[in-house]
Amino acid sequence: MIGVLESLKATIPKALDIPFIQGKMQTIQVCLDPTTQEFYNLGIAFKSEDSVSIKMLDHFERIRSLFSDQIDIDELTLFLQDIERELYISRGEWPTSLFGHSVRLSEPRYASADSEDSVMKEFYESQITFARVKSRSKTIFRYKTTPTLRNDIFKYMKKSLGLRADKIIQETPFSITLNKRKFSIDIPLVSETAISGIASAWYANPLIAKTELLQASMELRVALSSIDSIEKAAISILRPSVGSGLNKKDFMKIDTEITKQVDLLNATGIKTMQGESIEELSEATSNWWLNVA
Amino acid sequence: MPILTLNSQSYAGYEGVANEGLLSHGFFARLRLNPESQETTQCYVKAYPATKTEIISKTKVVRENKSLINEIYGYILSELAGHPVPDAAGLIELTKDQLPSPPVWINQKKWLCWFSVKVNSPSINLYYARGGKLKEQDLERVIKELKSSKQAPSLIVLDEWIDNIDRNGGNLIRTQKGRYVLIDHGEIFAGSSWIPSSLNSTAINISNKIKSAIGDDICNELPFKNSRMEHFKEINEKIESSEFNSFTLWVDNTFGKGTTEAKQIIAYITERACINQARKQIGLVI
Repeated sequence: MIGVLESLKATIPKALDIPFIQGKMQTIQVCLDPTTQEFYNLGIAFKSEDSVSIKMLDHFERIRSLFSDQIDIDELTLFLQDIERELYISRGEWPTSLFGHSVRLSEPRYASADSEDSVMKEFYESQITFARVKSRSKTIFRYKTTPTLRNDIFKYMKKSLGLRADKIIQETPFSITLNKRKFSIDIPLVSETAISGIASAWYANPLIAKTELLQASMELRVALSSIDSIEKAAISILRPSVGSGLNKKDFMKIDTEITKQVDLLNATGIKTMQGESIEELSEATSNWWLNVA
Repeated sequence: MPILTLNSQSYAGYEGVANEGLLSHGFFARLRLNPESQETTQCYVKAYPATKTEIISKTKVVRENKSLINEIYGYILSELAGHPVPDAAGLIELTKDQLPSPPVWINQKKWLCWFSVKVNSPSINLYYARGGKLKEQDLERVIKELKSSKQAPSLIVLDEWIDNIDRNGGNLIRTQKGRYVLIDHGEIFAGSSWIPSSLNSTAINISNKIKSAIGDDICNELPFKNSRMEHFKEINEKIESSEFNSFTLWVDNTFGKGTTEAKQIIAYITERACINQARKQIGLVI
């Protein structure tokens, strides 16, 4: 007689021929209290055969209410960005711990969906308790980091420019020699005659937005002054929209700071492309590389 | 709700640890219950070893583990008896790399698992233990609630009928005071190593844990006995109705339509509900 388990297996339907992405997901655990050595899930990272997606906690309502002023939110924001940047750079092989064991990655677990975005959306709130928002009626401001923005623009360009995108995209920093000294510079889009940077200014704190813009423009200036063949330079800037969740006062502060930095960039001959959504900015960047650069 | 059957494409990913059973490997995961949709649902997934070793008359006997089929039968029969069960449940075939930290007994590339939709409430044990270990005073509160639960008589009847030897506070999901969603039926039919010819329709379930917890003083009260008798009558009505087909369908799926084994199983579950048998179980004078 055929075993019962075999009979049960026969009831399982065959796999459908539908496209879906599969890979491994890890939670990013951060030690928020060195005294108690308590780790909290503050991000998720998903790696498939040909892409990497990272999403860190992007709003701090719950952390504020749990830790009140024990934690400096601006400092934590920058630290989470550093973690994200580090993971994007070491995308091939992730260590089990980072930053002197204050950050650790969980065991990789299988995850799948129809796209990377769906995987991230699916597991972000379920894995990161602090990401769950009490009131869904109110729009909460969620910052967007430069590494994530870069990753999303890369994906868009790979789709719209095809093989040409692979020649332009610089996933990791490259070295440059200046006065017989080697420097590492991080410019995400490079051809023989053009360069362009990517910076997110989608933050609540104007100081963080300013730092992001200055960092990206400095890298461009270094490249412009040291590579003779470069004729054109541009920067793609993500700026928060009115409906981003920032209150009027904070929005005005950040908007003023970004406008100031954009004016400076334009004055130095660097073309600025601005967008209030990743899609809009990706399209503008892609078009610049297609038609201008 | 019919039993769902899903392939590994329906597995979206791991979500967290669950209280580990001794005889199984369980965890929480997100599943796509509708293969044509990307929508996912939080579920409890459980893998069982393929075989079970027992010592019978000083001899080691290895038998096919029937926990998986018990889960199917238990889900269907509990629902048939009018008890709340998870919104959906069924079988899912997972690849080894989808299973988190697979135990050594998962020794094939694909493994068939049981799943049920997560009920967003704690078990009665967890509720009174407040997430910790169940202490003696917590257990007293569990028993106190069970004694006053309107579901208790029918719960005892169900476990008598399906010969569940493993009902405990961990598998009564407390949705409100005295109201429970039933999970974990891996040990019905007096255990997970039964074979159709060994099923005993007249054996009294001496491991009815809810009955033992509530105690003889309440169980022997005439209104309580009468209530149990009424529930047995309701089960008999269900057996006579077309709803019972949901059970016979799965007996056919697993043992073959019209086979001796299938007939033995259906006879077993029908006879265990018969009124004379019920009177014997309850202790009512014929």
